[in-house]
Amino acid sequence: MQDLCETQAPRSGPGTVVVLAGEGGHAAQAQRFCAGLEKRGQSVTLFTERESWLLPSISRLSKEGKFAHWISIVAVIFWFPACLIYSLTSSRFRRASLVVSFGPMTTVPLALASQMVGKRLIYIESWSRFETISLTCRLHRRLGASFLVQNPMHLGKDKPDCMGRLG
Amino acid sequence: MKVLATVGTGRFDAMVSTLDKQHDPGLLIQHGASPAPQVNAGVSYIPALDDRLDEFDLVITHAGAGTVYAMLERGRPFCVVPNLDRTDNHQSEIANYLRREGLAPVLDLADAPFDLYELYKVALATCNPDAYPGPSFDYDSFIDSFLS
Repeated sequence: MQDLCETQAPRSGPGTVVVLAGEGGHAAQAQRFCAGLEKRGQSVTLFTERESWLLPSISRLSKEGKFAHWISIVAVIFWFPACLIYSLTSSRFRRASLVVSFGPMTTVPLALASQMVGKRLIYIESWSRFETISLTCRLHRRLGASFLVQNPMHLGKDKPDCMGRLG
Repeated sequence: MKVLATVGTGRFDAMVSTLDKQHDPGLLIQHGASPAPQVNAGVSYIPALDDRLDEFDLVITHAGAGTVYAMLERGRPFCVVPNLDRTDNHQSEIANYLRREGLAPVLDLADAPFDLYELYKVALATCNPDAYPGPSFDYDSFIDSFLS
């Protein structure tokens, strides 16, 4: 990602940021986020569905079906052990101080694994959400993730932090 | 006139089949995981699509965040077709937002067949290069909150 943008002098920071994203709009927003952080001198590692075996492309098979979410949930459970081993052994994960997920469901095994090895987890909800939050966001919250939204939203008693739109 | 119809990486059979009912020599349908069009030119995936959007006079897109973002930023004419076949409702949310703010026409496939030149004129009248909605992401606040 380092070649995507002009970089400024590095800010003193505690390690790299690992960013997880699926494909399509998820990956597009994650790439913008990475470029923005790198511009500010932050070291970033991006994992997307298209490039990393750790994010299985099951969403492509299942996301339009009636049981899409349930198929995804079952599949990611089987993927979890591999993600846990990777997050324990990979130097890229060991150096990370923060893991940021953009969804979809396929990012959950790596997000859960990163939680279990003590990384702080943040979920950034999609720019396309104006009224509700996604099932993936709700799952990440269950894992203890902080969550940020890109559009001002009121979700009952919750008023999540709005950081503005990635773009 | 060059028109791109794009459904993203997933399936949107209704949009592909509806647009493919009429032949237009300038229409390219990026059909993702849906069956390829039979009547018009088709391609399953366009690498680095953002870099090629300016080649088209009109883009008809599913209401996915990636392409909608890119078109709003460019201030170029586009129409959206929310994919209501999906299990969640986020494409309706983004389509409602675009309709409410007058940022792009939202098409109903039940109104097909479409006159692509008429769509182009409507989309051109709607698009506004200065309309890209803010505020933009506050990286400094993010870094201060989570990385300092």
